[in-house]
Amino acid sequence: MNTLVLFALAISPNGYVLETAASEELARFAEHEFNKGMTWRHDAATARRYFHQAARLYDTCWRRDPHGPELAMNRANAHRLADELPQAIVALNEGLAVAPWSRPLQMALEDARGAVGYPNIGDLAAQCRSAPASGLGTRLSSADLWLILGALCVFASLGVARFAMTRKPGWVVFSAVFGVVLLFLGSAWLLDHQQRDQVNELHTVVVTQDVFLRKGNSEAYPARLETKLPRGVEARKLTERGGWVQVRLAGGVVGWLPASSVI
Amino acid sequence: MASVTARTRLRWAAILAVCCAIVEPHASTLHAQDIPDVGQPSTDFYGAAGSGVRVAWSLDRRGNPPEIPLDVEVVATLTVTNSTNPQKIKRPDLKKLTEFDKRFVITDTATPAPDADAKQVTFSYRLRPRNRNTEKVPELPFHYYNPAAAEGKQFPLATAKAIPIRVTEPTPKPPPPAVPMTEPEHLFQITTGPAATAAPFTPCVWAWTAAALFGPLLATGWFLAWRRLYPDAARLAKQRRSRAARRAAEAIRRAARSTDSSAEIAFAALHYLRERFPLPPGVATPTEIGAALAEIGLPPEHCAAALLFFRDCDAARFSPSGDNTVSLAAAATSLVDSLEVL
Repeated sequence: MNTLVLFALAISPNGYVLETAASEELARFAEHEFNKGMTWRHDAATARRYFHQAARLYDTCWRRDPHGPELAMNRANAHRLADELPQAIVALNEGLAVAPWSRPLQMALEDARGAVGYPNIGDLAAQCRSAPASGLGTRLSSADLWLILGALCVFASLGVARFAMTRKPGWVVFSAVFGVVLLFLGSAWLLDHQQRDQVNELHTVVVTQDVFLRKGNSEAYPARLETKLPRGVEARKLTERGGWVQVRLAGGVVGWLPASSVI
Repeated sequence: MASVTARTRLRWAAILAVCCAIVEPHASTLHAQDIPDVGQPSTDFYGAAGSGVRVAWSLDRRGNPPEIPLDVEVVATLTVTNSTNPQKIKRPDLKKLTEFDKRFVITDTATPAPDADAKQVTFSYRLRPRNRNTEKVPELPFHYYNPAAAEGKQFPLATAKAIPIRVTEPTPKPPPPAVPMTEPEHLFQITTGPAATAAPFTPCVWAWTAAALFGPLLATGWFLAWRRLYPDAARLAKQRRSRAARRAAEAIRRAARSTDSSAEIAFAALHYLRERFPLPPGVATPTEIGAALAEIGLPPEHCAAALLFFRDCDAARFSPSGDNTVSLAAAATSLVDSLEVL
């Protein structure tokens, strides 16, 4: 009964409970809404309302405390099913910022990008299509690396100990091999981590409606590209001025977008 | 005479009546230009002429008052009767009348022109209430031209009386046909339960420190345990660790292959003793070596073994025959091993 009351308050417009409920409670409410949407799959209009509600709850849960890739995936799925593609892309990008190694999130982001209406030819096609992330950090989590480096360290140390016992030079080689791999892996991961931090310094924004990229922060400026940026295009935010956002597309082109047309 | 005059008057009256009957159809067909401009009202005059013209509203809905859903149009019909020129009456434009326009969304409907001999004309309108506060179809003022009226009263006002109505809630619309979702199946799968909000393990500084120290600590523990479990093996290892012993063993092996093996083996063993123990520089003979080792504090059996070994070496060097190089090398190795465990 208590849960029902909480749920009723959670979906109330004032959102009081949204501010006070625990993350686990919010996730449970979101699951409930998502499941209701599932039961209405035969009626898209009704189902999308439930999925929108679930996405709203997942958003609140995420904003309070960014969790793991599972919550990010749930959030993105709810937005996709609510026909909110830009919000889904934002959710996936935020999930990958927390867990860049998550293969399901990477695949879901590529899938979402596939749903964006990129043009096939022309300047825009070359400029606005984001490339998939790469690097050691996109394959290994810090926990994986912790385990691997720890194991390498153990093997190298045991090799040294065995050499101390037997005085056979083969054990020195054994330890050296593991030591070299340990150093190489650790250095590569640190380098990749630094590069990723540099890239993530610029906030990613997503276009929510088809809009022209302009040369200045006003409608009076001419368009930078001949066609509109399609809904769902990702860009890096450089600065903001007078209700306009300066962004850089994946291809390097810099221009201005209305702040109301990006999230 | 009076009756003749009366008869004559009746005849004239009859003739006049007949003439009027003949002329009346033509007289009743007044043209717009027949209506004088002088005294014509600026509003609410639509060109109707006649005597005793009447106007009235009627609705296509029954009830008292008729109930009209908010989103439904009602057909209101304005009927003008007793007009002598129904074909010439202009259709009142309700959109220009504030009383109507503020209450209704008005759509004109086509009304067929009245017949030539029609006695009335009707105008139909589709009215949709703008809100639920609309309480009536308002009255419509309607001036007409009465040629028979006295000067200054030729444009009397007829009024179509207001009809009260009651506007109800809009009729619920039937839901649009359901369209199933066609999104990929994987989008419908989510993580449920506590796993959904579980944060991934991210090693902290202490975790990295522990991982870095775990290997060396484990190796050290293994080594210490090994020493405790296998003390002989540990001693052997210590012996192997002695660089002097390793060099002596190598020198003994080389000496065994030389031409003067006895002397070389003795030299290698003596070199080992000099490296391992603080022997005086002049010590060279077996007796001196044995005495020096005893003076250092070596156990007597080791001193005796060393003395015996060097005497054997001397015996071999100066013996006329016999190849005992192998036994000397083994004895030297044994001596080094026995001294190495001290």
